[in-house]
Amino acid sequence: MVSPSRTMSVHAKARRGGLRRREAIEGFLFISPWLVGFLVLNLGPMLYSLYLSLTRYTIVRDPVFIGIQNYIDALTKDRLFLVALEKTGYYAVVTVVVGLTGSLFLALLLDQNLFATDILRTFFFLPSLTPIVASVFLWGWILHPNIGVLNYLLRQIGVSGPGWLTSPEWAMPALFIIALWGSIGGGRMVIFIAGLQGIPRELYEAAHIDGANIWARFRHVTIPLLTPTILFNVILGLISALSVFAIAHVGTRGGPVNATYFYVLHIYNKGFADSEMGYAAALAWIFFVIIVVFTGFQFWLQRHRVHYEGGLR
Amino acid sequence: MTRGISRRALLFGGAASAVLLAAAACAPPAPTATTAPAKPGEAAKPAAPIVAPAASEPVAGAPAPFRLHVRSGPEEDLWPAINPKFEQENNVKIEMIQVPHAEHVQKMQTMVAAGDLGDVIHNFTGDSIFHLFFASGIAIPLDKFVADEKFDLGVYYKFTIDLLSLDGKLGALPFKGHPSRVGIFHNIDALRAGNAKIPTNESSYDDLVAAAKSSHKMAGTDVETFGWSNPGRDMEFYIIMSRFMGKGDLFSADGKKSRLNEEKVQAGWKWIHDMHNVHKVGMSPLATNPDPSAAFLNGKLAIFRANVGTKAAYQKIEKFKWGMSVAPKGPGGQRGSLAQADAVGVTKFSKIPDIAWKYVKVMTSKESGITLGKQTGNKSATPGGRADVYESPELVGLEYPEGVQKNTATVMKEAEPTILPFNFRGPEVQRVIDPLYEALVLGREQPNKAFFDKIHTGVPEVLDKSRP
Repeated sequence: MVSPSRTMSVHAKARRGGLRRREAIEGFLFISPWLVGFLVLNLGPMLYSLYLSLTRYTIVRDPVFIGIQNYIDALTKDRLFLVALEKTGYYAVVTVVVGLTGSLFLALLLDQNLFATDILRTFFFLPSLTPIVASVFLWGWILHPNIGVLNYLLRQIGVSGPGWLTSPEWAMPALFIIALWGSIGGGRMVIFIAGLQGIPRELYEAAHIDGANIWARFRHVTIPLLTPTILFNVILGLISALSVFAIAHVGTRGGPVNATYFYVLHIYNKGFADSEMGYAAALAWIFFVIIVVFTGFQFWLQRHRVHYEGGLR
Repeated sequence: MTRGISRRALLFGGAASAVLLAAAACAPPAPTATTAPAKPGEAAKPAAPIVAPAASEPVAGAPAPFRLHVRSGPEEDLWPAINPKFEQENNVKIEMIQVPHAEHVQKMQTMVAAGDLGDVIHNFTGDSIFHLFFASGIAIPLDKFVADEKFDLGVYYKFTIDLLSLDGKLGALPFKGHPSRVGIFHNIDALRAGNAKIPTNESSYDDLVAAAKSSHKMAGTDVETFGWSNPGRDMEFYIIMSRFMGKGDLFSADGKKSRLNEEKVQAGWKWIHDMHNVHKVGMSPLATNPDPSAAFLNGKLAIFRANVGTKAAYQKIEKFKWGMSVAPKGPGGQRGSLAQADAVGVTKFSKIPDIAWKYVKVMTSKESGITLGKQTGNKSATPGGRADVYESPELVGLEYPEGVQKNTATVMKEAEPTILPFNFRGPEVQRVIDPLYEALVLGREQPNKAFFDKIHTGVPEVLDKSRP
């Protein structure tokens, strides 16, 4: 004989199961626009590009399966493969480190509720709204070696300015300037401000009472509690920096002397200029693996370096 | 018993459906008669003869859809002038697929991949993309149309027809044609201010050096006016440099070998190097914004070797006097011209190729050429690929400084044939040369044997490859 309590338990379990199923269906229904978009417009083409990477595909002819030959060619024969990786890595490290530091500095400044904070926030944010192509054209004029404003100003103080975008040594720093101008005060700064405003004020007060000065409060309160935000910005910033394309495509075409020949520019050139779409797909997959490895490393790092209040991860 | 759908099962089902859908959507179009893949170093062999599809009549009643791939910008004013009449006469509804020049070819490539290219395409010869499309059967031969109606190709400049033909078959008609960068644009005021001799059609390259040196003007450490500039980096200019100081060329006649080991080919490269690094009068062609053309427009450049079509951009200059002479012939008797054409062809995707052919004829007609040349706003200075356009009273009478139109007509008759890499890998060759040329202009490389060896050994690596 089944006890009443056991019968109730079975009924309750069935009700909970039905509820969970309904919730699951509703949940999937709610996210289905994104899910379908991702599967059809992202995952599908990605998998197809994986197939293309194993073919000789020139757009104008049907793909011919060649196994991993494209990957072998990229790693052993392509003279620009390592050049592009090196330039991209250099660009990513500098723009992420300097960009994050600058964004954090501006966010800290704006978090102080000083004079005209709202106006300053708008002022800092505006460059990030400028389309990258327009930015490059604007900075092309400013950085022009002979008739540019920057070198003119430098000459006024007795400094002979460099060739900037026309100099192999200075082209990359010129791109740093253009990229950082448009990104330091942008989305990253806003995310930092949000992160800073989420830090409980009591912690600062407690630290202050304990005798901590500004630097100590920044180091022992702000930074630890901001680490999730920093991690988020680092991951997105690194992916964005590694994918750099337009700034070089428009501003330097990868030159001078390959000084700004970025990886995605290489993929674009192989795919569209050389009509080697299968090879370009292989390059893209190699790059995807590199980015996944970097991102995985950052997630591994978060276990040791990122502080989540309440232990949530 | 009630059994819930696990998230994993739902996701798996969704993913599987999506992959199937995506695979179906992304599947390449049905194979068509193109050419067989070639071994490295060999030209691709045709798998089957490429023939124009049989002409078909448009469906009576509803207008047939008709799609054109053209770029937005320079020709924008032409379409309203020709399309309404064409639609009416041929019972078609024209859809213009227009994108900016920088993405025009990529757009067509993407639509080829999707098997969705339109009826008529506007293409280019400078980057080999026309030849690639034609050789692979994307654009169909026009010979049958020409033969059927005994169409007179003689109205077009011969160099354009030669350029648009491959293996004896005609792949397109010339929408435009020009001899590339054989215009010596000069700022007369700047030259006079420097007591320099104004370039004429009789000037030599030594005269140009002297004039550039005299007109190059400094204000303290600032350059106020540059004496000389040539256009930026591209295959067109690399070929021109290989020609203008000696009877040479960048590639052998069959497009399979580099000729940069020949001294007469190297002479032009040395001349350019010297303008930038010995005479120090050259504005860097590496600056893209403002580029030398913009500098000339703003009165900052005294002499600029550029495409004769650049004159349209300068027509409204009022703050200084300017002129355009033709580039001198070098010791080898070559000006360093280069036949170029805009190709208009019919695609293999067209279901109404006879109508597409009619449109090709309209686009390349005398009337269209004159409309292009006269249009306001987005003005084209290389209108049509035919003498009756270039020499028409309407265009010859356009307001330009004395001699500009006459000189344009002169060089149009002299355009030297273009020899491109046989495997259509011009952009790849260019990427081998670009960094070396940039280093040469910057003075990081000297125009010596070691320099030319670097190019001469780098280029064959590309030329040894098969056609895409």
